[in-house]
Amino acid sequence: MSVLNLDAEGKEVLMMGNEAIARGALEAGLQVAAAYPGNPSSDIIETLAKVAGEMGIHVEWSVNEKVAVEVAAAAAVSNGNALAAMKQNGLNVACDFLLNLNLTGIRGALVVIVADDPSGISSSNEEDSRIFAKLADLPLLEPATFHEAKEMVRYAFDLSRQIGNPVIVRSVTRISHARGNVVLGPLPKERPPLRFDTSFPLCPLPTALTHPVLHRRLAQAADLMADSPFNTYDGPDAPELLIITCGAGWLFAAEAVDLLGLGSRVGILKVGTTWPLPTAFLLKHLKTTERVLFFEEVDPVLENNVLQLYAQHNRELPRIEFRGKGSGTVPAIGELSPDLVMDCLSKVTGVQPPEIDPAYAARAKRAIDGYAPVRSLAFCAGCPHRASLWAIKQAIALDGRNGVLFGDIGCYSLGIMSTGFFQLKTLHAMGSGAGMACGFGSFERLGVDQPSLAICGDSTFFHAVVPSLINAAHQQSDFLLMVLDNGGTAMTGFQPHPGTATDAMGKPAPRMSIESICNSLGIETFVRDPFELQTATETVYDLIQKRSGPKVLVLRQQCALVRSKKEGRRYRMTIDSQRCIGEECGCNRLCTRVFKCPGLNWDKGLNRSSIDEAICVGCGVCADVCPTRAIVREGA
Amino acid sequence: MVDIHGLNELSRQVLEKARCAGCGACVGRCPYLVRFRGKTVKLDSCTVEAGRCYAYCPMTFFDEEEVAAQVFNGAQGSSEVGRSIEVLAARSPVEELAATAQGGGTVSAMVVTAMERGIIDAAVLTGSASSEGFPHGVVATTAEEVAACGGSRFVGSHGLAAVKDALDAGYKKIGVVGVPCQVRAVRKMALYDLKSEDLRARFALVIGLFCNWAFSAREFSAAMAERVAGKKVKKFDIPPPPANRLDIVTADGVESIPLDDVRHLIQGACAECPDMTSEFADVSVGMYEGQPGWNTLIVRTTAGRGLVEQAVAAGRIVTEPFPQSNLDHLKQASARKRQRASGGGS
Amino acid sequence: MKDPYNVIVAGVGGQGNVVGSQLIGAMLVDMGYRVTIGETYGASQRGGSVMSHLRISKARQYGPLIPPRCADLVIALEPSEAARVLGRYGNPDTVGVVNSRPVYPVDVISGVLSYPPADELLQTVESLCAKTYVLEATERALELGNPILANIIMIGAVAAAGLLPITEEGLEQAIREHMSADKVDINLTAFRIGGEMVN
Repeated sequence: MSVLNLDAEGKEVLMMGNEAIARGALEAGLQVAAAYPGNPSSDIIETLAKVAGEMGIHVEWSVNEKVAVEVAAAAAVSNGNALAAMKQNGLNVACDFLLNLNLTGIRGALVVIVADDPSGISSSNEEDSRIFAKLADLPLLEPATFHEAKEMVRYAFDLSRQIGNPVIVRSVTRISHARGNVVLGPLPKERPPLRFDTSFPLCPLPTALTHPVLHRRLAQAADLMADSPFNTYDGPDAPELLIITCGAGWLFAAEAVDLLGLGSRVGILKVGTTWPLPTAFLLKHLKTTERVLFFEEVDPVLENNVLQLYAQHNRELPRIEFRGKGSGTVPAIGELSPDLVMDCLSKVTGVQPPEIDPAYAARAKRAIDGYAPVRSLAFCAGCPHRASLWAIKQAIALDGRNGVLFGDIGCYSLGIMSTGFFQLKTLHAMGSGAGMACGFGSFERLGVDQPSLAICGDSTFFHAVVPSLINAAHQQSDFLLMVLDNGGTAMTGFQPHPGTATDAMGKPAPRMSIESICNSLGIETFVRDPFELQTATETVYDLIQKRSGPKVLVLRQQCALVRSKKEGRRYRMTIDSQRCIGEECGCNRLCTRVFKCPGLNWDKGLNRSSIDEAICVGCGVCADVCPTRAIVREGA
Repeated sequence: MVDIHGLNELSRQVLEKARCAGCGACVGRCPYLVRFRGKTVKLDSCTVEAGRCYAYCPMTFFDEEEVAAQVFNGAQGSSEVGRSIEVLAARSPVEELAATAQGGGTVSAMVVTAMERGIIDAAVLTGSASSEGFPHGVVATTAEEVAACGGSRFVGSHGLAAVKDALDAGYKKIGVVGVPCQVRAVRKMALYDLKSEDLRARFALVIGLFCNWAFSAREFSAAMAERVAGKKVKKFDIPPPPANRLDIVTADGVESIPLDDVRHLIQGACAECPDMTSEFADVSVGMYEGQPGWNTLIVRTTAGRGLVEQAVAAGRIVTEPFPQSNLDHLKQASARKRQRASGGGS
Repeated sequence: MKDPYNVIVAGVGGQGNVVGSQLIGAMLVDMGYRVTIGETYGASQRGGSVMSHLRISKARQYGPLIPPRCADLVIALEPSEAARVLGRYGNPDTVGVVNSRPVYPVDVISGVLSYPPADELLQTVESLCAKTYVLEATERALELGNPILANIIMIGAVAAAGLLPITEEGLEQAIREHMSADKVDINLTAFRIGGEMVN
């Protein structure tokens, strides 16, 4: 039973921001939802997929975000209500389509949810997606609370249908992945019939006609949202300092003002309709103050837009000191937090936060400095990527020509760090490992003798790698692509993809074979189990000796997290302490110093390795790594 | 006494500077150094501060005085061919041994004698090309196995990798046949014995070979594969100067290449090596210029002399006096190598 | 209960941190509280530190992050995480409920960093709390058959110590709604064991 499609109007429940977004879409009469997994957005489609059957809606994990938006758009141009969800990088991928769709318009409703990841906690980069709204001339809403996330998404569908263009709702990690109280609304009994009207085509040309229409639609949105309840003000009529904020900044700002006791002096203006700006509302409040402080996640988007508005209306407005990212008051990078907001507010107002007992503060500092060793990210115990990267490391070293492994996005991205033996030498976007490697593999004619290798995951393969392989086959590039196939989109929570046998809604689906696709491109393709370390190493080595065009090696082994849920231990691992020579010449703790599976511990007292039973999942690979056969593998 | 370091220093001083002699002393004892397709490969870093790899490598440091004090008892004279008791001509009249020998079969004959007489219980030799196409270290315990290792190798063969196998198998009196860098490495093993494996006692005999230089195994193998494309190589030969050629003996016959065509494949380490005649062995054996079926035999230690006497008594080898003019030639050649190594002349 | 009442559930990725805080939050919303839970997960699940910040209030919806020095209760599934979290979010009135079993960071396992000695670590943690409960929750969870039950054992201890107004009935309902019916029995057993450990 899911709270997501609970028909209980008025009930107050605890919901994740992403769940609230999904609920809002259902309350608006959602019919089609598509996405590619990407945090912090993945839960939106995940939760919708669970109720898709009951609700009679179509929910899919598309192969990438461009396709996802196209799938959703197909419904939105056919009178339907559709949603596409993605993280910031996904919007980059979908952008080309969106920047054409905005010119053709739609004949239904399309809401694009983009969940940014300030500080790049679960991302390769940090990026502010809101600039796309300005770029595409599409309205953008930013929820500041969980209930608001639901309400905004529901409203966004209405707005989209009214103006005939997509609407963007931008969330961030601290809303999407956080939970809070949400009051459920009614679920509609009926939804619009889906039908594509073939009497008029959808074409972005001629732009002389379509571009002005785009501007008109945006202006219409501005009118419709002029009195939006999503834009609020709290505070004195003539505040000494006006905080202008949006999204996650609002709750932080409210708490900071409280903690500093500034409630009677500082006002908080929350913008929910971030683009187009609610000009009348803003101008009304700009007239009441001479100091403004902006808080928003990532880039000074709202800040710059308001500054632009101020410049346009400067003659009607008082002289105002604007502080924010532009003035250096608020850090230009990284996410907001209550302490950061408090510090900035403190700097600007001169009011100091309450002091903590210095003796306590000293003890606290000692605790952090001396008693909390840093936790670097690491592959899980039993992760096949550890084995794959070990084999790759050995093969590249044995080859001796300084081979380059171009990296990609997934759990194996951690291979750029010590947990993957620093094997990845580049990390960019989905599929760029293969793209760069196929380029590098063509440079023998330019005097390069370093072997070219790339890795990608099974999901990444379908998402973006296939075009690079086609390119490599045609350009006759000498590179080795290793597909680390662990049977799902692991990093984001193990969602299905075209290589798995089920779809988002749990129904059986045809499973695309990576090997067949590669073979059909005329590419030599091999499949190995990375847990067979010796064979995997030899295969990688052999394949980088040949200069015979692109080659693919599928290293196939189940993700440890899935295996432990489904099957339990394969082996029971123990250490023969007689054989273990630990730190001595001849071993130097290879298992815990280099291989570093968290299931292995170094017992300093005994000078021997040991197995941590609470963590070891029994994959057995460490037994093949130990030089003295001190790690013993027994069938479980 | 030199400071003994670990893999990081070995890598910095030797591997990264292409000074590896391919002797095999460092490989196979740990997961960090292996021999792969003819090359010493470092697989990972190691933080052991004083490691066997650094201690035993002939290219990190070699204290001639310290080793001499361990090996020689002062009864030897010293010359351009190192310390020696006497220099002889020798050959083996035994048919089976002569068949696989490069020259006179003296080395194989002495090894077999040492086994039969209980001087050694196993021999570390260098066998011919394995399935991968590279010569490699072998632990031999029978006359057949010894005979199978007859013949010269012209590449760094990592023969000493088999020392670990002999030690692990528990042999107490190991004989080693090797080129000068390998002899030096074995003497360092006995001297430093970092893991107290009783190495000084367990190396019962060291037979050294003459050597001017060796090719890098991996590069040489690749170059030869191109040359002979598919034909099976029976053996290589480098006739003495002024021949200046490399002979490749296949089933189809002999193909000769100018030595100058392959000089670039010689190991960098060889340019630094001052030792042509394995000056720290118990006995040293090499070609006898002008006498293809004979060897030059330099007896250096008491143990060496004992071995030679036993081999003669058993009829395994015959010896004759070594002409002074040949000895002078040999000394000149040896001196030239030492000169080249210290950077002077060619 | 203070308003807002700020609780941090801290641990290492994979310890069930998220599920634990979710269950607590659901129970409290049913009791009429406004609850906000902020988490850090995603990439940090792979062996990294994980924190859930719970804001509990009758008056307002608070932001998903607790300001430094404002934690009232720290439930730590791992002792060095207790030190880390108390070091930043603790104050002289904070109460700590700490699982004693270490989970070694990979940098400790590989010899780059040292893990503090157990007694010193607990002393440090206690020095930052007004009151500390130390529990061998993982050991008891292993006895029950799955180390991940440690988080429910800790919740049981928290309830029995009166640190949060949660009951066995509330937990049962939350488990039925958010996990599955077949998980109820083992989790209730774990909850009770936690309660016993405190009494």
